[in-house]
Formats: sequence, C-alpha cells, structure tokens
Amino acid sequence: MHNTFDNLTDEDLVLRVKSGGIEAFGFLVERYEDKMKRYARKFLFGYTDIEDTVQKVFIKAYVNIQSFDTSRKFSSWLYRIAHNEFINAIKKKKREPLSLFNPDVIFPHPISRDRPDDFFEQKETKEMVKKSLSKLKPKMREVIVLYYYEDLSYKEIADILHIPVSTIGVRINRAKKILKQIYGK
Amino acid sequence: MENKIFSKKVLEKAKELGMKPKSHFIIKTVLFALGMVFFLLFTLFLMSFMSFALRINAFWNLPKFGLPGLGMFFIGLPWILIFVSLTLIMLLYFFSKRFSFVYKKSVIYFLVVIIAVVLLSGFAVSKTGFHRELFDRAQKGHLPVMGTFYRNYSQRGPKEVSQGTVLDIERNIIFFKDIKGNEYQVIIASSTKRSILRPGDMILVYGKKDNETIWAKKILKMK
Repeated sequence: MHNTFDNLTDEDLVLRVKSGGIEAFGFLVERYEDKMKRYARKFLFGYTDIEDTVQKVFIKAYVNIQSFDTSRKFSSWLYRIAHNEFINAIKKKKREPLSLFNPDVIFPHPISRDRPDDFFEQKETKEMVKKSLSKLKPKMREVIVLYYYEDLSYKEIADILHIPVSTIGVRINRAKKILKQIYGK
Repeated sequence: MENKIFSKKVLEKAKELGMKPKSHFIIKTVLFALGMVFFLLFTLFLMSFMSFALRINAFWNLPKFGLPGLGMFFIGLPWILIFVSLTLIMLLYFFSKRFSFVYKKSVIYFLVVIIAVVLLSGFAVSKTGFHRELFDRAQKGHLPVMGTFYRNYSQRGPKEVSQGTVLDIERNIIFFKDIKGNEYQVIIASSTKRSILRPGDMILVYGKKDNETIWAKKILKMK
C-alpha cells in the first residue's frame, strides 16, 4: 500500500485522508516523524516525553485535517501545530518564562538576508550551538532550530510562528550574538 | 520498523478520536470574522459618537481660547470612551491575528491602519445625521437603553464655554441660544474681548455661567 503513496505529495495525501483514507495519514506520520522528533528534541530540552508530545501533534493534525487548505504547504501547517503543542508543553512545566507579548513584532524591521551563511558550517560552531541551545530563551531557540536544523526559509518560519518575516531575521541575529557570547565565556 | 510502531499508535488514537467535520471549521472562521466585524463596527460607533459629542459640546473650538482652552480640551476629553475604543482595537488585533494578512505585518502597521480607518470613518459618520437623530430622540426620552448614554455625554461640555447663535443684542447684553437649545443672557463687560456681532451670528462664549446668565470674558465669532 505504501508504495502507492511514495510518489504522492503531502497535499495529495491529505486529500486522500480527508476523504476517509486513514492509511494515507499513516504514511504522512512516517514521512514527518523524524523531523518532528528532531524539532521537539532540540526545542524541548528534557522537558517532557518527546514521543508522547509528537504523538499529540500528529493526532491534533488528524483531528483538524479538514481545516487544512490543500493549496498551502502541509509541512508548514504541521510545524504550526507542533509549535503550539511545544509551547503548551513549556507553559505546563513553567520552567522557562514565556511572555504573552513579543516586543520584536511591534515595529517593522528591515528584511535581512535569507541565505545560508557560514555560521553553522564550521564544526566548532555546530558543537557550540548544540551545547548552548538550552541556554537560549525559547523564542530564540526555536528560530535557530527551525532555520539551522530544520532547514526552513524565513517565510516558512514566519508562517509557522505567525510573526512577520523581518522579525525572523532579527531573532536569528540576536540568537547568534547570544550564542557567540556564551561560547566566548 | 520503529517508524511503523509509532505511526500505528498514532493511527489507533486518531481512529478513536475521529476528524472534526469541515462545518466545525467553517463555523469557527465565520464566528471569528463576525467578532472582527463587531469590534470594528463598535469602535467605529464610539469614534463617531465621540466626534459628535465633542462637536456639540464645542470642544473642537476650545483651542481658539489659547492655553486655558487647550487645558479644558484635554481635561474634558471622554477618556473612558477613548480607553474603551483602544481596548476594542486591541481585541480586534487579537481576533484578526490568526489571519496571515495581519500577522505578516508588524503590530504598529496594523494599529496605524486600523486607527486611521476608524478615525476617518468615525469622523465621516459623525457628520451624517445618525447621531443627531439618536441624540434628539434621547432628549425627548424616546431612546431606550442608549438614551442615558446620549444624554450624559451631550451634557459634558466645558463648563465655561458655550457655542450657539446670537438671538438679539441690547447694549451690553447678548441674547444667546446654545446648540443644545438652552437660552442665556450673555453679559458683556468693558474687559470682554469680542468682535462686532449681529443677530444670527454663530458665536463661542467663554465665561462663567450663572443659571441663565453668562459673564463673558471672551466672545469669538465663528465663520
């Protein structure tokens, strides 16, 4: 059965799920399981049972699948659900403060470049980021995870976090500065 | 293999819960849209009402009396209504934040656009007969629910400034009818600053009110 799904896009699979084909959803779960688990592991440092949280993400996706507009990208929609679920997990644990209001979305910022930079290419930087990620505030940590580990564009990240594209650049640059400071110590 | 076990678990739970029907999301979106329209219209109503109330209470002309006028203007502004309007605008933002055309822009962009729209349309609505009609009904006691609101705010003009028409002039007394329909005798002293007036002129009188008498300090003729 899975062989028939191999050549289908995410959105085609969602169309099948919507019309009752639950097996197609199983295929989507397999397609995104590793990505979601990686996102959760990097974003939620020892917060909660990753397996359980990611399971909740997929179940929510299934329950709400009729709200997905197939003319849009399924991955962004799924990441959005994951973002909400992970933020809820952080709120529940109350270990890290999460402000309701983000001052960096109030004023417009110049759009910074959305191109791969050499920040993450050096071996020692990768190691430094890996070690220091947990020291970043959640909103900074999340953009770093989505941009450098999940390889998403600014636009995709903006759609997931529901914030302006220009704010993504600002957050990434701030997070990089903080990481460099931490590493400098 | 591990992937299969995970997806199997997810599918089991998914089957158990089932999908929410499409109608659920349509109703939710419609309710959100209605919420946005409600907040927008309510803000528009308050803005146009404030503009109307400030006009009938001669507030827009207060700055013409210099610093004391400006002071009266800021003190007398309907701050509660301004605060309620700003809260409604914030609620409107939180309701519309789920739509990409809102979250893709900075908050300040949304606020500037929405405040400009509400101010301009509010001003335009206040120029129509809409509030005047409701105000007249409230005065006659024919406006249930909103009647008190209209009567209260229409009586909240600056105590020492009145706007209205000259009915007649006799030596140092001007017979005057304000825009709410009350009649006064305006006493002109030698120190009263004023221009040449004729019956029918629209004037703004600054001076202490004592029952049906106004002791004028300054009288401005309006164009």
